[in-house]
Amino acid sequence: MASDLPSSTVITLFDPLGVILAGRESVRAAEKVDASSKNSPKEELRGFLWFTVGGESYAVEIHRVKEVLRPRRVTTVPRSPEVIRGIISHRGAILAILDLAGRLGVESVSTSALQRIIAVRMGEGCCGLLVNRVGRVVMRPRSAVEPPPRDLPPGQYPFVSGTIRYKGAQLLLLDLDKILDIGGSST
Amino acid sequence: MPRSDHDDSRGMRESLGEVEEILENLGRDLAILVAVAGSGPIPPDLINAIFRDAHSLKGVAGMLGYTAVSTLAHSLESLLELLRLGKAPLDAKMVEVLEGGVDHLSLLVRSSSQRAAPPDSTLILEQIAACCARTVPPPSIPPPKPLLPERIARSLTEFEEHRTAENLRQGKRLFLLHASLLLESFDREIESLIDLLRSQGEVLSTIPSPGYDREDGIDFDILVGAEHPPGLLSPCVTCEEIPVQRVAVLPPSEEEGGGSISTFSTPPHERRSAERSGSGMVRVDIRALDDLIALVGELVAAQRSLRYEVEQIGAGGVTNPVPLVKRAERMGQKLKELQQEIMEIRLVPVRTLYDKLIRVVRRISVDEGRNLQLELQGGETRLDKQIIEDISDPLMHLVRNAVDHGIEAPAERRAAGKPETGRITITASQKGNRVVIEVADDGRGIDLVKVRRQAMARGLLRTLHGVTDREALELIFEPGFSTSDEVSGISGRGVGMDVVKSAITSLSGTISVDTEPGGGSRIGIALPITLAIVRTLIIEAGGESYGVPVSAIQETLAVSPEELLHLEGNEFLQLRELTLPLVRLHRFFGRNSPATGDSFGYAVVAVVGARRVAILADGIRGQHDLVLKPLGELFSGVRGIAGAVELSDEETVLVLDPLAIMDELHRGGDGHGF
Repeated sequence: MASDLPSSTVITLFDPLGVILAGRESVRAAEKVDASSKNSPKEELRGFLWFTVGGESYAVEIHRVKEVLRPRRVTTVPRSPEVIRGIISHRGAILAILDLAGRLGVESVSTSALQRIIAVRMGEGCCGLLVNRVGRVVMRPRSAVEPPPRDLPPGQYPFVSGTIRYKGAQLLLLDLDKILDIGGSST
Repeated sequence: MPRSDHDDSRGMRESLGEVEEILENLGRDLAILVAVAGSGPIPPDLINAIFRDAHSLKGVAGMLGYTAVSTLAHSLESLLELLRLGKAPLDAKMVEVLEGGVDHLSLLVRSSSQRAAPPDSTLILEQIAACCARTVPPPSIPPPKPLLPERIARSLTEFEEHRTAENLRQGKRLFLLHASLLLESFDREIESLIDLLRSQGEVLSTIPSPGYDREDGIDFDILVGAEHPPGLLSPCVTCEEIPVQRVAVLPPSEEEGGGSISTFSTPPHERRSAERSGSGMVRVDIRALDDLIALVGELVAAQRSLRYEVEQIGAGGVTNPVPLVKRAERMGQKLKELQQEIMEIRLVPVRTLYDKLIRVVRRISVDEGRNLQLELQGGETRLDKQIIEDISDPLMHLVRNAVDHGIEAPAERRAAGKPETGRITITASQKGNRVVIEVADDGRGIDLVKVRRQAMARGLLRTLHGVTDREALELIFEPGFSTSDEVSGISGRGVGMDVVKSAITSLSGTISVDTEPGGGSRIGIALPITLAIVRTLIIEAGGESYGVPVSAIQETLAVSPEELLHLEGNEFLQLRELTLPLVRLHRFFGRNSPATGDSFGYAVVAVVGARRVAILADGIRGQHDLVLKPLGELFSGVRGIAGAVELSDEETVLVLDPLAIMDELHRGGDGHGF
């Protein structure tokens, strides 16, 4: 499904916030037409950042996303949980890089120029999620979030809180708190 | 990590910072009061300052909903009011209760900041109430009112009336001044006038009245108590163009030779660039911020010229790299200055610790009836705020230990030909990039025979033979060791020197002890000035780079395979007379052994306290001043790594924690975190 991303929405600029905001704007404009026919026009729209991991499309709520970064050299940390790739320094702080494919139990697609790190808020700090590529921001009202599909691989059940549809694609909405709760579920 | 922007918690922290600041002032003023008590009249300004501290504490704490703090502050305020009005004497009981109250306030505030249940205040509140109940009738002196014009007498507050009477009682005379000022400038002028008068007597009251001469004027009646007419009081003398008239001199009765003018010099009041508060907030001198802004301005300029050079190269034409290198170097220099300046802001004077120690020693002397003298030196020495906070308890414990185990009973001291008053000296000084704090006493010293016997009894020693004095002395830092035959009320129960030592060690500090039988002991603590910036040696081992804090490195030497010893599957390095455990980092951390894993090069000998370990390195990359950052909660289970440093944009390097590595080797090396 990775190929479902229209090429025009693939992010090639480094200014991630700008891209996210621009995406948000254009989507909002598009949704206005779209939404007015289907949903109550009054309902507040929420943003979801669409990205792919191991060929599958996922989304996280945009308010948890702080930045999107290009991959850089990761320093591995011995004795740390396997799903943690290592650390990078970013804006004066240490950012742990989580191998999202490993966490979700899907096969990671080999590194490409499209790989990105999504920095998400975690408690007082941040954590980076390594993803195959970042798509766009999708605006949807809360009521558009549907329950998770029944045919999910068992390993993903704890992490998927719902789905949203976008142009025929199904985005699996991730529960970040459960994703980031590494201590409890790794050995 | 970015701070939470949550308004509530931030506002709360700031308010807590304010409470702590008031409490700190209160503690300091009280320490001064205690120091001057018993040597002549008590400076009224000081009591007033303490009274005001308690009052503002009550207000702020009440606003924040710290009921326990506000209740206790209120009760202290009532007691201080009595003291202020001369209705209660400043005696040992009063000092004890005031100090107890302030100590309890600290406990309450600390528990609030840690969101813990507040300790019970019943006892201290009862003590304060009992102290309030001891009110003495004011000394019978003629009330000053008849002497004063009715207009003035009517305006005096109870406190001012008391001070006026007190001045008369001390045989001073009252001078009533009248000053006519302009409305637009009177606030500054009256302030400087009062300052001037204060240097010559006590300003008892300042009473404003409408200007008599002009519409835009305001007049003040100023009542001053002094022995001699202040120079200013000669008729028609003006001070800085403020017209002052001597209106009346009110001589007390005929008696001569009363008390002297009560003067009190405040302690040297130096500007501090930053002050501590346990809420994680630092107050910063505005000048320090100005310096930072200036530096950032220079950096911006440096960046601009760097950019210009880059553009020149981009445009072709220029091939000479020298200007570019120069600009980059200048920018690097400025960045270094910036780092230095910011580090400075974190530094606070050691003096902030001393006030607390003064109170502790006083309490001990009162409770135990012992004669103690505390001498504090080097209070201006500055240390990182975080270290100051963390060193407070260990230092307190060392002082208690000195009293408990060091200073002898007066009879014993007399017999030994020493002055009855035991002396504890605390000295702080900067030695290079470390701060050394010494706690010395002139007590009986450490009995090494007793130490050896005790160590045997506790199973810390197998034999008494061949244990040098130096080694015996080190035993006092062993866990579970205590030389006191019985635990007294003032020694920290169950807390030994080992706890002090581990607290110091965790701050990358070292502790040492010297003793002289009959002559006293001296404990020295050496601490880094700051933990924010760590000088780090970057090494390469097993295909990875690691940082080692230079403060923990004894030496670095080239080694060859023949120098290693193999014992029971472990490797050791023979270094002169020492046999050191050897660590190969990739094996220690369970990393895949790279092809070059077992090559040789260097051994970095790390030392923490008396323990050493040799870390094998393939290469040495050099030393850098770096900011050590924690790895964060996801890595909380990783042992042996203290944090990480950013070497360049693309390179982050793990910094080793030598102590944790030694601990793990000590335990037998089975310490995988996960």
